[in-house]
Amino acid sequence: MKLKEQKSEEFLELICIVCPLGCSLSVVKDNDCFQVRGGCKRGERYAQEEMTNPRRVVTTTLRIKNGVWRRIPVRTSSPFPRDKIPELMRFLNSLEVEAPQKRGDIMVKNLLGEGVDLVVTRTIERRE
Amino acid sequence: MSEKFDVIVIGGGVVGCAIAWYLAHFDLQILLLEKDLDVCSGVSKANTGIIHSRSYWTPRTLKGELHLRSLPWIEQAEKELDIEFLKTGALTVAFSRSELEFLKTLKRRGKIKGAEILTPQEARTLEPMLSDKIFAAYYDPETRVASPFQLNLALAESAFLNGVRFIFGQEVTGFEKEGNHIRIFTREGEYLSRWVVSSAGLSSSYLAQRSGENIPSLRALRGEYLVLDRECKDLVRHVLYPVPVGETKGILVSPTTDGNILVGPNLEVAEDEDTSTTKEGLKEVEEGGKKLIPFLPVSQTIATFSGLRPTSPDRDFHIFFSSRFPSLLHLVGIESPGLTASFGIAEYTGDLLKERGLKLSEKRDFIFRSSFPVFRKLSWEERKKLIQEDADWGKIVCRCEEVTIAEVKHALLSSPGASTLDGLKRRVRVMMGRCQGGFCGMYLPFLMAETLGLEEREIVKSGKNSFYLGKETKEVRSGAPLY
Amino acid sequence: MVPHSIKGDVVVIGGGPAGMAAALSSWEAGARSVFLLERNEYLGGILPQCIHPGFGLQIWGEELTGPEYAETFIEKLNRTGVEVMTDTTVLELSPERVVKAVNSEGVWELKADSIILSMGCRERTRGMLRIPGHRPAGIFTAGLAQYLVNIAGYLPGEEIVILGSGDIGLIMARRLTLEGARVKMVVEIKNSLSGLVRNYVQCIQDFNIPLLFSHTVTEVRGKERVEAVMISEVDEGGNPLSGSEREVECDTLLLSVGLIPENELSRQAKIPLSPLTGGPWVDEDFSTDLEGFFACGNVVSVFDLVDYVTLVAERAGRAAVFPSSPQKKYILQTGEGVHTVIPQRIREGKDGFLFIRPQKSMRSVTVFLRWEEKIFYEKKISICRPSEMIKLNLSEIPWPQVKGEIKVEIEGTEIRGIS
Repeated sequence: MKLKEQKSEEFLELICIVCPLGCSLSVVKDNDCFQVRGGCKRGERYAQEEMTNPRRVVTTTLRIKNGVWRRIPVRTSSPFPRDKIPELMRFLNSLEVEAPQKRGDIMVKNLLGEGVDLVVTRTIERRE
Repeated sequence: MSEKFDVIVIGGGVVGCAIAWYLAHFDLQILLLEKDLDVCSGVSKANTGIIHSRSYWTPRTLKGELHLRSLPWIEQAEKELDIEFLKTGALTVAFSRSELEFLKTLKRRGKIKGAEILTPQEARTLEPMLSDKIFAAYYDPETRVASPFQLNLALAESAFLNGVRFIFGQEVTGFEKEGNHIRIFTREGEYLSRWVVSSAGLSSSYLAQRSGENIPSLRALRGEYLVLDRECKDLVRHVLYPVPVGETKGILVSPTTDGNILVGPNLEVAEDEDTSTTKEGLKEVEEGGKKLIPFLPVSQTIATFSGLRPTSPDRDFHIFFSSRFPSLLHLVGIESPGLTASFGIAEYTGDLLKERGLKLSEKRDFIFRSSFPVFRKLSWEERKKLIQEDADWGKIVCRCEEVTIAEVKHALLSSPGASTLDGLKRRVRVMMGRCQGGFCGMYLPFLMAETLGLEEREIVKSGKNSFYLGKETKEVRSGAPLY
Repeated sequence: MVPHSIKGDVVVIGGGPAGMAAALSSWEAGARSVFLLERNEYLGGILPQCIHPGFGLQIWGEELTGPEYAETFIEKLNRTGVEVMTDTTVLELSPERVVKAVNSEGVWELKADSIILSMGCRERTRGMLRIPGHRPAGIFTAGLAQYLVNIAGYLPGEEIVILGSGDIGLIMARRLTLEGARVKMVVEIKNSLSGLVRNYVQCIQDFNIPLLFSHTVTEVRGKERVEAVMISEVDEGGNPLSGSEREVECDTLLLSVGLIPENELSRQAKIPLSPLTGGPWVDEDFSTDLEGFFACGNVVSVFDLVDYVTLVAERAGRAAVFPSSPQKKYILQTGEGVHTVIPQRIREGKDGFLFIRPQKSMRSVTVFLRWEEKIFYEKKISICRPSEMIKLNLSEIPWPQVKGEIKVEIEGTEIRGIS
């Protein structure tokens, strides 16, 4: 199918991050699906994901009370839908947890119903 | 405030503090008003810190006279203030036969024992890194360097110890007569005093105009500087002067009491009292330094800054009583050698006030100031002892300058104590090292807030709006739209 | 009463990833009095504030965050008899391997058979770059800003310009944006990306943050707090092009302009330093040119991956317990296209690694090793970047029989921009 014949053309340049080469991929929307050019098979899969369901691991901090530090770093257990990250941040920023907390513990399950948990990444002791 | 003072000093720079310190030897109620949040916040914080010897005095000027008058005070000041004036000596360097004439003038003026005009070889025996293009050099053994901040602070602390009150954040806006007293107005309040001394640096001509004098405004002439890492401390041992071109002493290369090397200042006009550095100015300073020391290791620069000279049209000091207020003394145009001449200026001021009727009866119980220990300079035995007394002496907060929490706390709680990060910097040298606060910046704002009972967000760098920290995370709504 | 004058097998200076791995490795090699001295309140060095993932991929196949990586080592250390001293600053180090340190309990003198240097590095400052202008509050190095945000819980400001497109600058661009600050732009003096492409996509592109190549900050404005910066386009040599200056309003300038190995103590001990790296000359076991002294991690030269730091530190830790004879066989020189090479000396070349940092981003790359002008080893790789060291295994290299100088070179096609 020639690209020139498309009526609705959404042409996007993506940089592939699967391997260190960092190829430039061009993606065109073809009705309901995407045509990817400029990369390898892994790159094409990456581009498809980026266009249909882009996800990112989110790492941030939470407020923590009575700990030796005032912030505790956390991460999502797996990549989270990219476009819902602002909403996720607003939710996480509204939380305040209590010390002590242990690395690896699950702080929140099923964030925003997306099936991704929030994991503690630093052990914070209780302040004396 | 209905409290009456005998003397109010306006300006907490080195001259204002020297005057307050001098007058504190006598039975007087003295108040020092400073417009910024700390002493040493204006001209005094940004200069080369050199105590110029007699060779460099300018004849037929008031500043020259006060320079000479000041020099005999050095020994006494060292004792009373517990401060170090490092006698480095100086070399003034000539690059031509015509410049040699100036060296001869210096020798003649100084009449200093041991001062000599040297051949290039002799000069380079004293300073191996000197340019090989020099024609001759004048060696002066009497030149000293001081830390401009430490001197200003020592004077302020000694003044405070001996009864002088300090109030900060007081920008004077006007004067009014009240009988034979003067009422001073600031943005924050009013103060009443029999005698007033205005040593307000860059604001001194403005204040004179506010008191009714018809004098020209000062011109702020800026000088930029490079500060080299302490690793370079053996680069030069003496203060190096070029032969001056025009009205300044030129771009110097100088050791400092802390081991850094200072290069500068150049001379340029500054609009609006602007203390920024410029690309051209720093380049000029670099070239001036390289003229003296061709292999000047500019890559070892750790900081740059600029200072302003409050210059009167004839470049001399102008110390005079106000025509409208007979007990108001103005000090206008105190630029180089202001630091050197500070003791002489203080004594002269005392004399002028006394002539007009200020009673000076000497105190019997004048307290000599003791400087607080500096961890970096202590022996291991001394360090061990201090840590046993107070564990805070074992906690290093500034790695580059080896400053402990004990020193920081003292600087915050002493009088007049630091209330800004720059004030801390000038007292104990935190944030002045090669990492410029990269390490201690993690601790200091929090230590300051805790020690002074302030909110962490209130901590400022120098001016009252120079907040160090932003908002707390989680206070700001996150909502950056994604791609 | 704890004795303050101590003799030890191994003293490790610096408790970041390098120091922790080295101390562990010395213990596991059989040393029984191992001291780990750290100036900060906690172990881990920079890791506890690096809350993003990207650590451990090479050595464990896992993508951990910095704090997780650090805690793994802290837990391992807790199961050993390594004596950890935090809040302890080393002030003096002598060529005779005497360490003098202080903490709140007093003054300490430690005499060691082996000293391992792992002091890491510090950040390049505005003063070193001599950026003209005012000296307001609001100028931070990126690492300090990262501490303030992630550990202390404060934003450095709200309208931010970042100078430098290295990974720390890119990571902070994302972090600050997520915390509600506005990162107005990232400015990079070179014409290519300094950090990883992945970080460009996930920290810059994701948030639509402008990234200007061939630009730099030429002035800071603001008497009390940053009010604006002037940015200029620059030529290939980094010199501002006249007429290209424009003002960008902001209240914060973040500097991500390079790391400098912190070798004050090494200089005190008179350990020979390389002018190229700023750190000690080392061999493949990370012993320095001075007997009894070893060095690993960023204090030797800036590494990109903490995994490599761990690998290198493990070798140093072992070597500190079983030092081999100091004869160095090959001296490695940096040639065309190479920025730095670690180690710079090879004793045997039987095992261990060679890390090569390229000067430029290039495609279709070949790495050459030359002995007496002749190429005796070649390796082809598809792409190389200044932000990613090339790692070679020494065992793969057919080292020449005779000792001497070996030149390391890289050739390839230069990449501009992102990729």
